[in-house]
Amino acid sequence: MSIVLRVNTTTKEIIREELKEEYRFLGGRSLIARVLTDEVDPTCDPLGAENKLILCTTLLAGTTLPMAHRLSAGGKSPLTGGIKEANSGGTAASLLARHGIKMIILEGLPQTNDWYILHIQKDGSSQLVDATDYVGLNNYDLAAKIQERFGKNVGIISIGLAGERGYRNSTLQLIDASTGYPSRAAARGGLGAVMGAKKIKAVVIERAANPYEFPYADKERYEAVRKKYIQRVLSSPRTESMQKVGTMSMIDFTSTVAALPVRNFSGQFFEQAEAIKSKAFVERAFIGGGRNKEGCQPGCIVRCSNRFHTKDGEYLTSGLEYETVALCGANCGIADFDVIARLDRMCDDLGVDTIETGATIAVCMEAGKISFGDGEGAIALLQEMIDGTEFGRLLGQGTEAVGKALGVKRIPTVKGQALPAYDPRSIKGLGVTYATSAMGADHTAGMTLGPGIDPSKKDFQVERSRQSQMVAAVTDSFTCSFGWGELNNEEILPEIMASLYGGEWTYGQIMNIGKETLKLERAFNQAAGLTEVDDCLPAFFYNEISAIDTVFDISAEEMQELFNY
Amino acid sequence: MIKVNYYELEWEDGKTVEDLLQLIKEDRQLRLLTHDTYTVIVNNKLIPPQDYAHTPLRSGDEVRVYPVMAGG
Ligand code: SF4
Repeated sequence: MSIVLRVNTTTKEIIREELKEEYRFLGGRSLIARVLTDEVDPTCDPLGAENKLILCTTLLAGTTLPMAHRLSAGGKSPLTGGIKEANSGGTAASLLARHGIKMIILEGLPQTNDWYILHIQKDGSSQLVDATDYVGLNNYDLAAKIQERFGKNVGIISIGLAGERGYRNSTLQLIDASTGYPSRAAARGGLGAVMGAKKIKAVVIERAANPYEFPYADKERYEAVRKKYIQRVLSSPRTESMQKVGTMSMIDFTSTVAALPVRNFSGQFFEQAEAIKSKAFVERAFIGGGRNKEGCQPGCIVRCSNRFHTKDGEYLTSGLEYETVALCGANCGIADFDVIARLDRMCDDLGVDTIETGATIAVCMEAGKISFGDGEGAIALLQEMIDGTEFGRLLGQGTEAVGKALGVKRIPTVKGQALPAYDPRSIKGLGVTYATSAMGADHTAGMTLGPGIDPSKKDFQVERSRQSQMVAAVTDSFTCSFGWGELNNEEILPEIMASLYGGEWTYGQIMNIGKETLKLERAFNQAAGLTEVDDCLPAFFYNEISAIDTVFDISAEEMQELFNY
Repeated sequence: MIKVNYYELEWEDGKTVEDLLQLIKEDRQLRLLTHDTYTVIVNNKLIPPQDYAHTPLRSGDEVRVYPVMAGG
């Protein structure tokens, strides 16, 4: 897995390079941290010529390990002003791996108004194709048109109008393996706008005619550990719950401990929770021909995804996740799956982050633009973003910009990025992660629930968050996080590295990849001008008592301890 | 009556934390997440897994049960 495609969007030159030797044991998030450190000035304009958009695969890409083909995207974030890595399932990473491509770097800025598609052909050659006919399309129409021209099975990484217009909440959308629609997103931090600034409408990857073969250091050893890993995943109770319900199973828990965000992070219980709990979800999901147990990546064995149809039987969206239901649902006071699924579809189509968008709509509700619970009002706001009205363009700048413009006091963001679906007064370790992660508020940057600590108390949360952030940086370098639970142990992980890359590995060595990544990311942010002031939660989490009688009470100084790695 | 994650639940005094976890696994309404690892807190005190079977719950107890979670 050693090919790097460097695409200069100023000169239109594409250079094929070998992956540097010092990047060999990096992938996904760790590779992005390293390349951005080496190649991008942290003070640059995220939408300017100096920023780069990195698209890369994980350390396990090209192997037959299930869930390993996650695509990571990275660059300086237009939303946070700091470093960003956002990852996604879908088909693109495995198609890149079949070509032996580890990384694509989009750099420069075009001097004309012409748009291009980066087209990687089945023989491995690549070119920039005129995209005039595709400009102005949102992701669903765009994907259909690309599939019509380049073939039904191509991988696509694309932007909708949000990315074209430079919305700071814009995503990169990828094709979902089970539905063939662009419903998977590298969602957080506005990387769609970075691709849009470079006037690349999509990356299209044909299936390689001569598939790359991973140079296993010890194939037999690899097969043995792969088998063990697969057995563990298949017999895990977590897998069973992911298949039966998917990530939506979280809601049954979060709603009971006031962790589910309700009406702009009010800290209250959601009185309509039953209507959006997993039982209601599964019942609704099967109406009209929808289903769960779908895999977003080819070969996934957990299959936590779903497809959601209208009651009339028409496909509406796929990969409807807990985060989306929480932020576009409960956090907006909305308890109707049909409305939430429509919002999800509109977000994927336009190419905006459902977490950021849900939080933004809730802030509009708090400001009195529309009222909490007004589903049609929420759809109308999203339509404004699609139409590009003046207010719609403001909405595209994210929760913080909108909150400030509307004079809202309670804006749930860290480093300009909206909080995901866990109230930090209920799960305090996650509050520490939100505050201190270089990514801005991000639940995947360090989940802290686990045995031994009371999540609603401040004790040991900083240590737990530090540890889980380190592990998360490794996870995002290896695989989909739902395949990680059974990989993350001393028996499997070092064995996999040794059988793939040779030598002997210790678990500690592998965790070190995470530690080094966190250090690089923090150094990038510091050089970009972010300071301790940016490592804080909004004041209202400290001042407003939640329904379970807690406030967030871990001070900024206490959280700075986290950086003593 | 005990409280589990802030919800009231009829309870027979003397049944243990282990009985409660079993109930959670079986009962749809209560099935928070059937993941393999929990954090159990009774009256603000953390209960280690080896004590689940001999930690009785009595009327008025406040229980909180947390699963292990990832991503989403
Ligand atoms: S576990 Fe879920 S998110 Fe991960 S690859 Fe499978 S379907 Fe996609």
